[in-house]
Amino acid sequence: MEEINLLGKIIIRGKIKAETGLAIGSGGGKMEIGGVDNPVIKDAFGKPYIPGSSLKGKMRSLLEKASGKKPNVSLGKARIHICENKEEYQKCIVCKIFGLPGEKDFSEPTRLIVRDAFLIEDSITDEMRKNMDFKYTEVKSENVIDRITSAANPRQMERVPAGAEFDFEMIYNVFSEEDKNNLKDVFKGMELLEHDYLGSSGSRGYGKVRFEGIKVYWCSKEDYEKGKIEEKKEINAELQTPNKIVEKFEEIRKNIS
Amino acid sequence: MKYKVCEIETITPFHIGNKEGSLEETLHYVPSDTLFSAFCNVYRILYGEDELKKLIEEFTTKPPFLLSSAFPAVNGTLFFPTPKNSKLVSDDEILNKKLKKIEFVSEEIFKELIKEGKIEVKKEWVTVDGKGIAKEKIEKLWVEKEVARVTIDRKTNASQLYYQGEVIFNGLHFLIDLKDENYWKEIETTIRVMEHEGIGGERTYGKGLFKIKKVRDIEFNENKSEWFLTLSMYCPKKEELKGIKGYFEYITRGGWVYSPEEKGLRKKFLRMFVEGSVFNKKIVGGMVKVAEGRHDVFRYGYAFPIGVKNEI
Repeated sequence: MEEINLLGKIIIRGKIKAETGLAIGSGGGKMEIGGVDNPVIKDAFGKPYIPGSSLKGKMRSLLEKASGKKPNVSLGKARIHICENKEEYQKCIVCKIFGLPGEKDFSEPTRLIVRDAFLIEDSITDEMRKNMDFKYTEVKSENVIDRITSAANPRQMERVPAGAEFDFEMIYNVFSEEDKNNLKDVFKGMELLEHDYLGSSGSRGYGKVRFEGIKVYWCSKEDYEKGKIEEKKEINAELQTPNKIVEKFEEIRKNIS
Repeated sequence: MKYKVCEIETITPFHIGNKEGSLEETLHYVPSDTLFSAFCNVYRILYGEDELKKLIEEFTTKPPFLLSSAFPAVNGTLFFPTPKNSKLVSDDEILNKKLKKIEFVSEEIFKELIKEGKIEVKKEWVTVDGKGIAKEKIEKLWVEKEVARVTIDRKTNASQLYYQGEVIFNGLHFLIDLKDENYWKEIETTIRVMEHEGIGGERTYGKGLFKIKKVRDIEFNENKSEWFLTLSMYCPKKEELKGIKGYFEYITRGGWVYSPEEKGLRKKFLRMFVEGSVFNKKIVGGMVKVAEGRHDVFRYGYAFPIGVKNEI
């Protein structure tokens, strides 16, 4: 693509539901009496949330694997995929949607913006609170047992309880016709995420999430000029889960004009 | 003088990089040069490269509008930088110490300060976080946080931990001095797209997004004296510096160029006067070329002058 011109933006909104306990760590374990060893990340008001970077990073990594991209760049201990040349990039949907380091001379503006997903407070009911240790989170004890002596080595994990819901929003920039088709891969990433996990300890059952009530809006350049963004109608009709959207993507695609 | 003020509600935390290569650090307001670059980047994807070149060309000769920096706003109370020549006084010694750390004052107090040059501060005016003063009860102007982030190896799932600083505002606001009315439509459209594009760093991870609350007119009881305060970062032209006196602080700005056409280019370091600096003549400033490549890169260095009282 030679010219980068904005045709419009696609706004994707909806809910993320934690179907099992969700533990996105904050790294900053404070040594307090009565504190938990592995705290979850919380916003400025002390409510747990899903960082945009966790959501975006996970979707990227799953799509990289799904499309067979080679991890070729090392960031410290971690190897990830980043296109090395222009030819590769032109064919790489992952790097187009999720971005490249700015210094690559063939990189273009990143298509996808993923916002932090904030907790819907009402989703944690009083009934759930009865069994929880903190206002928004539960504490799960885990244990390792020595295979020979049976000595226990317990630890504690803070998690957002199953049933908690978060508001999510993603913004997808459309610079070309090709971008309109590539939008499907964003939903594919969400679909893959539903069958993977978010946060830590996923192979032990944590972090199963589901996307619900998805609303997709198309805001063209003209809409921005007229200031008619607020009254936009969603373009996905009753297709409200990633699965349905991927299956019948053509119905949405034709509404992006 | 009348200006337009654009009040915005911030939706997500912001990351306004200060030092390059240090993701942990963030500023707690949006400097005018950052705001202007954000504006230009969106203007460019909206109207194309040639139109942006034309706009920049106009700015190098006669700017069609001026931008201030974006300062914190809390529940509708706008904050402005404390004029560097102003005196915040009180009889209380403990309070006097606190007053040295005041970075922002509310609109009401700001107006009084530019008119009178000094103000008697009451104890209860100081915000809980000690960063500002307002006659309303205000807890915090902003909250700074360091958030852990991680890169996960695609094969082994090994994690690589790093930290990112972010700042959470209640709201922000910036002023526009519209000199050429014809530009208003483009400005409005660009700011609307900026809502969904974001300001500052780490934007694709959801940082820096906002919503316009309202755009209204604002007027200050400006002094007719020859002393001016700037509400933007200001880089004077050489000839302006002759015989200039003032109350000021400066900051070194650097960073990398962000442009679809130009990659991996570093901006020249530039020393600029910070917002709230006061000078004894009409200050103008200008665009400063900070990088040359496939296209020239400029840093916005126009002052946003407000007439203030000189003697204190």
